[in-house]
Amino acid sequence: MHKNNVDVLCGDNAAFLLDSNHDNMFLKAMKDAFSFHYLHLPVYKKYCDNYGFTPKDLKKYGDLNKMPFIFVNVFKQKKLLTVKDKDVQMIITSSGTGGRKSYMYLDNISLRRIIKIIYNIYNDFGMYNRSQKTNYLCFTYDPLYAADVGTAFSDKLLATLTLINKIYYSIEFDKRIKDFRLNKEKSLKVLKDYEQDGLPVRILGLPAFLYEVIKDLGKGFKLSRKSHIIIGGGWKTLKDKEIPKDEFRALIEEKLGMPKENIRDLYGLVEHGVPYSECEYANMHVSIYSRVIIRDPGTLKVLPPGKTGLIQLQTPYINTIPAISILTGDMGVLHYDCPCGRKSPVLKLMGRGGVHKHKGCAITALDILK
Amino acid sequence: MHTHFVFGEFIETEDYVSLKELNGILSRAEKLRDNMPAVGIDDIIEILHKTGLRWLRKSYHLRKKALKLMPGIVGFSAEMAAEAINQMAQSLNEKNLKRKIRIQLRDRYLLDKFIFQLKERNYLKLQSLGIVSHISAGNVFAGPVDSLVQGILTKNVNVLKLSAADPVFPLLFLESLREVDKDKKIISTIAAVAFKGGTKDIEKELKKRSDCIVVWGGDETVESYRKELPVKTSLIEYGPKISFSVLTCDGLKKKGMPQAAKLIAKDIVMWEQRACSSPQVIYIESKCNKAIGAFLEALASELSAIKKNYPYPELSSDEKVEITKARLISKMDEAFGECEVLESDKDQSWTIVYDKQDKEKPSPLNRFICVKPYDDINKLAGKLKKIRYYMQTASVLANPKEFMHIVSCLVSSGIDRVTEIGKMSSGKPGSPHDGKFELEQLLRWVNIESLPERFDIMKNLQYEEVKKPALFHAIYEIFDFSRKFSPFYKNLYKGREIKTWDDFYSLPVIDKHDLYKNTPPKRNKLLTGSLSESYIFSSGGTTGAPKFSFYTYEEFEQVTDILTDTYLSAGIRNTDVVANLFVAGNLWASFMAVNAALEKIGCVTMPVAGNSDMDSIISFLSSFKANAVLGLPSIILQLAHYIEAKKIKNIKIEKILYGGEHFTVEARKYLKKVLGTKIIRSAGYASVDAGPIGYQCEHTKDTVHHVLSDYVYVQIIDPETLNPVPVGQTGEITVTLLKRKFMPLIKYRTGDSGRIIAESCHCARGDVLFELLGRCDDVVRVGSVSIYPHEIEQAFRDIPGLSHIYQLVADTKRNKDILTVRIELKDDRKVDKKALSARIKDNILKQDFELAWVLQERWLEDLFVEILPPGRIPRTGAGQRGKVKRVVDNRKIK
Repeated sequence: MHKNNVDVLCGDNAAFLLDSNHDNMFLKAMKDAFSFHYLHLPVYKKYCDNYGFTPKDLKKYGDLNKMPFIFVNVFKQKKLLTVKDKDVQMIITSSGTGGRKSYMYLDNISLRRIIKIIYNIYNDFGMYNRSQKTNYLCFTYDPLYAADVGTAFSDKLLATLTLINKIYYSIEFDKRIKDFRLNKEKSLKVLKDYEQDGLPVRILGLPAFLYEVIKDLGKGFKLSRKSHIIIGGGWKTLKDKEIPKDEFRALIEEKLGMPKENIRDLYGLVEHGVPYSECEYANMHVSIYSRVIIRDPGTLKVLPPGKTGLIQLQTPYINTIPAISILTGDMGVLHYDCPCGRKSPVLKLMGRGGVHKHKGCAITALDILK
Repeated sequence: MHTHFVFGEFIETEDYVSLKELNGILSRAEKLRDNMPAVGIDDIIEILHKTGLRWLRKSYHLRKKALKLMPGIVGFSAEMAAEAINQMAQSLNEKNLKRKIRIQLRDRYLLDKFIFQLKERNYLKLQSLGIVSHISAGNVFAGPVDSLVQGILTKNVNVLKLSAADPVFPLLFLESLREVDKDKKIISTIAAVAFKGGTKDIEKELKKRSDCIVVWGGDETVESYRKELPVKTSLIEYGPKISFSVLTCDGLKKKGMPQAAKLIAKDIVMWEQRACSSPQVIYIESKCNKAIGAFLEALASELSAIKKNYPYPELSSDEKVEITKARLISKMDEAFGECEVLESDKDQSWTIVYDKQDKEKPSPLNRFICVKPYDDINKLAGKLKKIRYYMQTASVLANPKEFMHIVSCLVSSGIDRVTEIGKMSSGKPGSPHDGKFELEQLLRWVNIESLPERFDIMKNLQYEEVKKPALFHAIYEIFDFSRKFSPFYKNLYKGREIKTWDDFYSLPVIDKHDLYKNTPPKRNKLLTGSLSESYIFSSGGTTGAPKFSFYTYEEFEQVTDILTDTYLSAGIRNTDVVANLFVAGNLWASFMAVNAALEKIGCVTMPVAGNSDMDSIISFLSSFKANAVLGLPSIILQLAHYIEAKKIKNIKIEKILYGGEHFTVEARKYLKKVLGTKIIRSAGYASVDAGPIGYQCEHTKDTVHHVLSDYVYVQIIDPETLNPVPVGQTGEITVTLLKRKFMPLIKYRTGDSGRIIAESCHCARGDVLFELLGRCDDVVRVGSVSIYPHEIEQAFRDIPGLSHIYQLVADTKRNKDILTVRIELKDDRKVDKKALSARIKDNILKQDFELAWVLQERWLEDLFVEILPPGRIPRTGAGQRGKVKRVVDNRKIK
């Protein structure tokens, strides 16, 4: 079967080798993806036509900057489906921080590709070994009750990087209050159990919950040195409890007895899917499967490395929705000097862009209706 | 480093103020509350006014500093910051402050003292609440200053929380206030401190120890102050608000597209849409069809053009993100065919989203406007009800027929304020804010009810205030004001200063010639401003050029208040039916002033006017059983004669208040007999130029009056030397008006002679007594008009054979005035005296229409001209060389 350009890219396991060869592969894949959505989704075609940039204009790698992008919140408001509803295998949602849910639609093609991408990325980090027996502690919603929640999906996926020995989802569905609740006591018990097992441990999920569990520990644990923590999604609703990154890492090292190099935060968006995971130096890397462009928040001009601006993300793997080029509301900056030696830019997050409270005494209707 | 302002002093601290420090400040505030320095509202207004004037000066150092700092702090262009400063400074203008107080609190002196309420018949006073804490919002530029000024006007102790976003501007304002307020009358009662918002223990303490909290800000801040608020503390909330415009097709057509777009662009641009009064949505009638497209184009071009005057500010990165988001989301909606997006090319300086499907859209402000069509105003209003609490201003452009319907729909959906387009951002001083009169909320009304005799307690409460230092202060104020704003006085008082009473005594006096030469229509040198919001009255000169007097509406209102008091003290009560028989027309003041005063007393008022037909007057009086009349003596006497002659029985006039001239003793007896009158008193001593000067009480008789000492300072001077005469001695009455600022009169000669009476009155009112003793100059009032000899002289000056020796004699016949003009012949030659006297009389009546009129109306019973041989007019002093008295008044008024 003829492998198309997108599949070629996703199948390439040199996850962080951003050389001209891979740039070229990325361009080809993007051309295919762009044409696909442009041809199959009329409203997207209209959007691009209004924008003044269509697939025929995407000729060289440098043209990628000129591609139209969709603001990520659009996917919260509108169903922009390029494929037929029946082709959608899975709908993933994310509660997000702003109130409205995000949606990601995955068909077989997209699903297959993103799984490949994730395996390739973590393989490069040495964290992919399907025969390694591992105990999992997930600070995420129990997938039994929340299979379609983004974090639950990605953690479920991340739990397949190794062979599961035991797994525990700590945010249990409490039938009495009909809501999810962190089971702190059980989590500690599980940790104790995993410590005795001596197998590598993987802790996944939201950092705030992990912090909640370990912050008051008198005596810590001594987990296997081969243990990893993959956290992501930020502090969300517990923003006011957020502690500085270094402090958090030191605390984990102290309380769990594992090297802090094995703590890996990740940046990801449910509408985008490609993870920007930290390397052993705690720098988030861009992989060959996507590109990060930093734009001036006002003029939207592309900013050079070192300058902070809005984060734009491009990836060709998504077959379902035209989220192949999106502008996020997050601020970030790119640089190229990670001591880990990977030939890939590092994305540093600079917080969420936008105002929570408008200056002055005006209020907007949307704020009122929230 | 944080700067704070603590009761007049700036202090700096490393950190925010601690709970302990705040408690110290609140303790000082409590002490102040219990012992508030007595500062009059006029002093407060003056200090604020002067502060405002400073801010308006381009060279003012704090203005310059603010213009340098504020754009960076609040994200305004320098032009917009200047606009905000100008508006703030304008709001402190004396006129605007007074207007605001007048509208919101009736009478500003209620803030100083108990004032008798004529209609309600009780005393009222406005008392401050005590300690008012203002929680200022981030980035509302002049908002904290506005809040503070309201606290100052209402004489509260003010504690201001400086917002973290803008801790600068309030402090600059306080610095300027400190420059003006040298005696620390105001600044000693203000603290402005920086503490961290959301600090629970500090907020708790503020709630506990303040009497009132004014909170500005978002829902969260408002809620956090609502929570656990002690019952004794009141909360005034200025939460966030939303505003919009409504345009109809007819309205647009009438205004014209370019003009409408221009005005709306201005509304959008002002304060970068961050004010609660800024429009976020323009609702346009959907049946406008094609006109909508044209409107969008016009608005786009105006929003581009307005950048010249109001450059787009440098926004924060977060604000830029908001605009970017909103634009991108709208563009996808556009691809779906839901809306159209128009935006500036290279920057974010304007965005128009024409939202055809009326979906809620993000509104990032900063010149981002949503235009939505609406079919039916009722439906629109229904939809807007969802956000009722947050609604503030709507500007409406509609034809007059639609207008009120639209407004009433919008009001039902929660709108507090309706303006024209282009006027959304500029609040009219005194208008309510967010549906409330702000000043009133910072005060409590205190009243004293059921008092049998008002003046006794009045004086007990207020006597201290009329004592000499206060009087001198009042005189100084008007002196200082006049020389600043009136070119006439500026020139007159060049190089003069008044520090003592002697300084005042040595100031030059002025007379009516000074007045008429320097006021319109001749020239405007004496007035302190141009003619606006004012009355022009004529003093009704008999011949020659009419003489005019000028009052602002506020001043005229004050006059009618005084007349109300005057009539009350003279005996008019709200149970009376009172006929106003003063003369109406010809720019005369009395008739309308009397109506206004009677209205305030609450009696039945009959605006009859003495120049009406006598039969009508009689019929009105009898039909409505008038029991009191006010008017000129000659008219009242004519009325009595008529009643007597026609043997009318059913008219009994219990009370007569007269003005303009006096009744003779005989006339009083006659009136009592014919009309059954019990009270005959002066309706007050007043002149058109000077206004009210004196009033009578139940104990004053004949021509004795009390001085209206709150309003006028009366001084008796020697007409020759112009020095003040000792108490009791006769001289010319000169007046200094303490409250007339538009046409100030300082040491103004009334032309009336009089004397101060040393004894105090039995009535205990405390106002000094004086007695009127006629005119100083050669003028006689007969039949209600003033006759000047030199004017009469013109009627015969050119007739050969007549000398220039003549005399005017006033007499009474059947209690009515008679004027006789006596003229001596040059020599003993024979003349036809009858013919000559008829010719002269004819001349007089031709040149003096008023005299002719009063004669015709028989207010003046008769006019005689006597031609006499030489030497027949009596001389005063030695024989033929003695002086001929120009005017002889044989009427007995005492």
